[in-house]
Amino acid sequence: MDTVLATANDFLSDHYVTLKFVHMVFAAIWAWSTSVAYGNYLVPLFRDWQRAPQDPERIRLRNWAMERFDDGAKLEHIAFPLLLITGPLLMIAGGWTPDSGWFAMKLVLIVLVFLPIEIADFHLAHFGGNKERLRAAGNRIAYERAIHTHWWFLIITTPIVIVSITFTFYLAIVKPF
Amino acid sequence: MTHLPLPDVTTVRPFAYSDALITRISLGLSAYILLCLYPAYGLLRGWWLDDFSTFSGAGLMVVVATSGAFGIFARWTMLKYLRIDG
Repeated sequence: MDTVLATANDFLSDHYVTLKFVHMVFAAIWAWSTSVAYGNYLVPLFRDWQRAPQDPERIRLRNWAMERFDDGAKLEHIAFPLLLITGPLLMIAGGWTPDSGWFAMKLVLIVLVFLPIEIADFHLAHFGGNKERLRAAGNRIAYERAIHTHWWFLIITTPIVIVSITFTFYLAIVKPF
Repeated sequence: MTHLPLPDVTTVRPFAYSDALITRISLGLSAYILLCLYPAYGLLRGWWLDDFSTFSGAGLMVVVATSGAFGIFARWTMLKYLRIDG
């Protein structure tokens, strides 16, 4: 195992900076590609709907924004698996281990914060919780439930991602401990 | 899909939440830092380096302060997004 890692390290270390560049590009896409849509479309339209929950035009706008947001999350959800590939390659190339506190903390955040959030997000946006598919199936009750579940998910994860993504960038760039 | 058909309003229900529920969620998030993230970090470092100093008094104080501050921030943020005129 050590020999395999040493060989991989020999090969990848020559490409460390390139790998880092690719990783950072995907990290930026993953972190911020949905933020404008969320803050400037989804939140205002959802709030507007809450003022008059039975108004058909507000419901239609709420649904439109949610369905568009499902679609808009594709970029984020392409970037995340690529981060999971380039991350370990960088780890091998740089010889990073939990000896470094910043790296250990980043690993913990990835496994215990980002992975569970992204699994739920994949489900809500593209699989069982995809609103467009539920609407096409004519399942109105499941559609409404999916809208509420997704909104809860977004509300609860908002403070988590604001803090943990910023902190992860800080850990990776500053390497403070 | 640029213009959705008018929805069936009979299946639409208002989004229900309460400040007490948001407080409980915030406490849960604080507890997750305290009881999952912090021990996971300490055990990872302990396993790798045989160094369990993360669980010292100073480390515990840092994580209690961090989780408390995060809980307050989380509650404030969630309510800001949920309140119609927040």
